Amino acid sequence: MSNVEMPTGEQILPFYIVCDESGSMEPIGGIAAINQALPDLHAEIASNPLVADKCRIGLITFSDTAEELMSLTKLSDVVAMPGMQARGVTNYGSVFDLLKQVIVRDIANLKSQGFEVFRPAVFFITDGEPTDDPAWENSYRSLMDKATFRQYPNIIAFGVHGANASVIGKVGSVGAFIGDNGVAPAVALSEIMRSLTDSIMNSSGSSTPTLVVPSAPTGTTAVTLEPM
Amino acid sequence: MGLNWGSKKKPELYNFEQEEKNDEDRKSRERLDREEQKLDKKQKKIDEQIQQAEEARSEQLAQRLEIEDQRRRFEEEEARRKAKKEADAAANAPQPPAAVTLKPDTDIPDLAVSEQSEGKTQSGERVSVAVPPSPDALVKDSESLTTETVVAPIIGSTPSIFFRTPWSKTDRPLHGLSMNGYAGDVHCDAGTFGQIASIGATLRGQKHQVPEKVTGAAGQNEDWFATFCAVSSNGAKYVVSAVCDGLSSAAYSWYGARRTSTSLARDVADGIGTLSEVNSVSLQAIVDRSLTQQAETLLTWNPSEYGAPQVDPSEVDPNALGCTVTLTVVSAEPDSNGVHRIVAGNVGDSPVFNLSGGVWRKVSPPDVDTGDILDTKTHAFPRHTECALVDDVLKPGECILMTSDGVGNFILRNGMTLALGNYLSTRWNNPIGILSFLNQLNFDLPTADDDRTAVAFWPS
Repeated sequence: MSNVEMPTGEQILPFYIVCDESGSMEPIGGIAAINQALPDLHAEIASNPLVADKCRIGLITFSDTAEELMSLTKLSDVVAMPGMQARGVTNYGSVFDLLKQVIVRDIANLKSQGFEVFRPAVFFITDGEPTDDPAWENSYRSLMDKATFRQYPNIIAFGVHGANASVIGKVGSVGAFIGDNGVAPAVALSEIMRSLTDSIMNSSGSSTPTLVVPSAPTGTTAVTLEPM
Repeated sequence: MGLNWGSKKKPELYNFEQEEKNDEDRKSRERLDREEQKLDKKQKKIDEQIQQAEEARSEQLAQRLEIEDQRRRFEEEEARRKAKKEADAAANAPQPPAAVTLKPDTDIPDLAVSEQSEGKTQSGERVSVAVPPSPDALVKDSESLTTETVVAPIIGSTPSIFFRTPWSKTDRPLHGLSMNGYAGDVHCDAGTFGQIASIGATLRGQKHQVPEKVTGAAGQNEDWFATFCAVSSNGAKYVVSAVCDGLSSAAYSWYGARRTSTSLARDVADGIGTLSEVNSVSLQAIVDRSLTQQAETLLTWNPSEYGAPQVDPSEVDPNALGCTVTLTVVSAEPDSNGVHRIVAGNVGDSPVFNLSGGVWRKVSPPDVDTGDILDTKTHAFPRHTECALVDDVLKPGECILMTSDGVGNFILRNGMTLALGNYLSTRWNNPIGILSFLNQLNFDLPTADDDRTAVAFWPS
């Protein structure tokens, strides 16, 4: 067997950026802020050969339903990032269901290519409370149950505008942040995108890849985690 | 026998005959000695010829492997050129106006509109957000600039950006000097002791070569190793080696790794001098004492001394020097069964392997099943000082290899040999040239960007 045919053991860090696309994101400038930040995220990651090789980025949006906007991808292979578009309400449950399916599929896919995969990380961004409360909690528990789902992700949650701090504290498993009063949501979202970009860079850039949880982005405050 | 002229006794003819016989005996002995010397010389010559033949055979094998390598690289290069040519041809062909997105979803139109960065068209359809060209593509232009004439083996399916980029490139540099010195790009110790040959080397990983944006300077090699010779109280020889891998989260782990590996190897070598029996049991107390004392005295450097961090140790948390520790002691003479006894142990996950007949076996530490997901948690000194030792053996034709995880992670994973392990299995099974060892340790594989340390032991 030649080397090329054998598994190489290359080590991959999967990151999923999960964005709220509900109708309320449009008037607060959230959609524009995130769409403007995506090319910066791409430029930062794709221009660093170490980080670009090691991390894979997926983009998932949710409102009435969840949608995989960009499947887990090496950003240096990307020639255009898909943009977000406001629509519908804020159903959390659908995105946790989709995340579980996508993680299972992606890890199997990466391993079949001979890669070793680190625990996935999810950046969850929302501007509102769940409209499917409390049903979303079952979907969340299914995704995060360490006993039955060994591929469970680490989640860092960010909430702005109408998001509920307590709910954000429940969603975040390793970090949770809520936008400060008096800070324009669009500004806070721009800072959040910058912060998660730094987190990806630092996580992939350490000698032994581990998720580097960011400190509170400017215009936000850390929320106490409330494990469910 | 001489004549006794002072004696009254008449000299007898018998004495002359005896003298003559003695003379003949002496000549016979001398003749036999000469013949034996001739045979010895002849034997030595034959031994030399055998050794030369074996060396020639090894050299031929190495050349054959090198040719295979070159052929593989040539074929890969040819395939790449062909692909590039096809891509160029496609690029030059008339293109439809549509841009590309990655989303296979049919709901999303394949339109890239850089002027509409909000990602929404007037009709409300989702659109793509334009991004700058990938630097991976830009780097291809610099391929011809490479300054290396020695080519490191390519283990992955394609060469990495690092592989294709000259180290001396200063626009978008990938290989920076360390701001505070001690970069540790290459450190190597090689030689023999008794019947053991050993090469140890550590290379600064790509991760620590890339300059920081703010300072323009890069990091330091956070791995280190130290190899010492030891002689027990009854004169038996041993080679002692310690490998340390600094934790990336620890600010001064590069110093912790250098200090701990050197101190531990020296303490164990000294301790062996007091032992008549060297095994995992007798060495355990020495190792425990060394690590405990080092942990207690870790923060005692002088910032101005050679190799020390330029910071007052009272301002530093001991865990900022955190590193894994791997120790191996190899008896330098084979026992009555022709095998070398070894003792190995770890604090953390830097492994010790045995390579036998092209097959890798992990000597220590035991594999931990983490399922589908890689777990980076590891014990590290000085938070942990427990280093359980195990006994093992090194047989003729085998290799014992200590590594940091920058190498070991790509040799064997949960019992499965990986591409690098496969590559090295036919190259490190016997002693190889020092520069070849360094070049092979400098293998190219995307994501293998950590510092790399390997210490190999071969029986002569």
